[in-house]
Amino acid sequence: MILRVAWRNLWRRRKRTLLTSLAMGVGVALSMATMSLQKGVYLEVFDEMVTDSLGHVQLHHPNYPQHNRMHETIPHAEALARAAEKVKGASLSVQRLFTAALAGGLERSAGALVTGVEPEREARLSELDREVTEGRWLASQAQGEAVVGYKLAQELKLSVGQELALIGQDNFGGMASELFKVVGLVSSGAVEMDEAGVWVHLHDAQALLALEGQAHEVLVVGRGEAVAEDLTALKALKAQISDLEGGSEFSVQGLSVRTWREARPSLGQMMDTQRASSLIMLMVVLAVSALGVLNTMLMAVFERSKELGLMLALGVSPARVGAMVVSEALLLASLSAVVGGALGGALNLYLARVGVDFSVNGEGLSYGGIRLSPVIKGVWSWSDVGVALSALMIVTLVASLWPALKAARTHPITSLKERD
Amino acid sequence: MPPRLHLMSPPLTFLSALTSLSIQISTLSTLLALSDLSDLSAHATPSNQASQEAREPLKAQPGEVEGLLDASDDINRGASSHGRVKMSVKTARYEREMELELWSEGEERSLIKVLSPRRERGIATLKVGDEAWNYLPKVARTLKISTASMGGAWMGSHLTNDDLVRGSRMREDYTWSLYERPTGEGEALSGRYEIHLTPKPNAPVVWGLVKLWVSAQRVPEKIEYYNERGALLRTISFYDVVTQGERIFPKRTRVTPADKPSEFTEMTYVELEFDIKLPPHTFSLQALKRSLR
Repeated sequence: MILRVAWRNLWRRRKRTLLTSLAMGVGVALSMATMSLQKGVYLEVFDEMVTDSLGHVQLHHPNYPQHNRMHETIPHAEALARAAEKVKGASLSVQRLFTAALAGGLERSAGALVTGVEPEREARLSELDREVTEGRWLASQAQGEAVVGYKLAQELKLSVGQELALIGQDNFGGMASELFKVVGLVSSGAVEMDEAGVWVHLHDAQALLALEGQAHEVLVVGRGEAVAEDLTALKALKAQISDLEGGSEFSVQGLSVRTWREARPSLGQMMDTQRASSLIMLMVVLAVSALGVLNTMLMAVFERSKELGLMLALGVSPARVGAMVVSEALLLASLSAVVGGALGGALNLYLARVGVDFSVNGEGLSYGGIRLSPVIKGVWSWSDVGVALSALMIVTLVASLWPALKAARTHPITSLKERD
Repeated sequence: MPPRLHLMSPPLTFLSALTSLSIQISTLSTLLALSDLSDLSAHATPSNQASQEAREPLKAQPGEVEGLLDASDDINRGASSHGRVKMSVKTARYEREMELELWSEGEERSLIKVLSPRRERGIATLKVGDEAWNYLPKVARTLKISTASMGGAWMGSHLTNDDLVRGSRMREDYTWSLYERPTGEGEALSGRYEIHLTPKPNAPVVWGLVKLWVSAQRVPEKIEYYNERGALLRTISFYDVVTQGERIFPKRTRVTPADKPSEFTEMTYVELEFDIKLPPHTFSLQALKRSLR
């Protein structure tokens, strides 16, 4: 009954109702799109930076993160990494060994950052194999192969199939030198990788540095987006890794175990800020909506004060009059939700399917030194849609309380005395 | 960059060539800076030379001290020499042993080849005059040693490149005072010489003070190196004096950094022949690359 009256009242001022609901709807749609894109950027950054280079949980010799000294390694890294892979919530674990070296081609030489990797796992983790623009990624067996950043290769005048000499220092301070066969060139978009990166098989790197069985870093990656979105999942994964018992095979005791947020707090904060900004955007839209509702409903109550007075005089309880106003506001909000949901939904579907091309002169966006894919796709999230729409309802409910109160308090006699 | 430590031509003959074996890559200089010797002067412990102040130098006969300095400089070095050395390096982290083959001719030319361990076999260093080259057999490359890497530790030992390349002579770079000399005559001669050396104003050395002890047989026993503030930086000791033909020389030499007394680098001559005729072109870039038998 109340709803029917409210519905009918809503359409007594058709233009105003449509305009208000359209304004609110567009606002909601835009904030939905923003949230979707924001999430897209977040996941892209997370995938490019966190998953690829930081891992979700990382293990080091306790001094390595600070000093980066060659001998500060994780002993029995293989056994540790394989065990870490099996804990609940983990999907992959990789070992890495780092060193600076002189890379020499036939005529020239240049400084290089050499990373010893497990080719198959590294490919699954950082997808470096997809960034090989010429030749191929490392074979799974250690056979003296190297993949080189394309700019470094240019500088050394090296091409696929030629020999690369790596000269550095081994674990004992002696001279480490070895020839590698260049099997592929990488164009990753990250400057330091393209200009100085050399990747070799972990076992080849271990032999080069006299660090057999050791690694500087073990990264553990959790399953899917759970770890990206959910701090508790991340902490649970870290706890599982910290509690690993290796018996005589390996030991986590005495190693530094950190989540990516602990390893790179600034990145975590940066990403939190980005998220917060989309929430602020939503709040602004909601505040504007609230004002719209307030305005519309106050106007309606003023316009109809005579009518309301009559209703009250006829014995309709003030509570019901108030409820009627609230329902009218909620109906207005629902209308906005339908408009906004339809618009926003369509927009989000478009963003999720097609995405937005952010490229400038063919170069993708850069975020903290990492090149993101030029086309950022939105992420369709039912929960975000739900949040936006229910927030709209709640805000409308709150905003309509004042007009409702005003309506309920209308004095029948005074209002009836008013002249039109 | 680590401080440049000029060991003033320790009588470690062949070592003057070992020198160069370290890497001379400018990009690696930071890496080298991490080596053990680099912070030696920074952490040097205060000296134990307190008792020194009151001592009066002795009056030396003309040529007496100069002769001792030359004898020390030349102790393992004839007009030419060829030999094998076992070098062991002990640090807090590891202990390792290397075997080296050495050739030298005067102060100007030397050649070192690593015989073992296997992974480093064939790595060679050639020094001719002020220049030095490394040869890395695995990558078949010859690298000239840059001045930037002279301060770097040689092969993880407690010696720098510069220690080894520099062919300086004590009598040229230092002024000396004699504080002690052996007493007695002939068979009954006992005690030792103690000589303190301070660098001449423009001498290319980093030490503030060097103390040298030489036995009555004119064989060096110990050398201590101090910085300008009088803090001991490192000690070189000589052991196992042997007689070979007309020569008397210590077979074993140990370098101990003052800030890490449990660490040392020790070199022991397994074989050493003096004043031999070396084939021509022993000290050439071709010889540097020649593979070991």
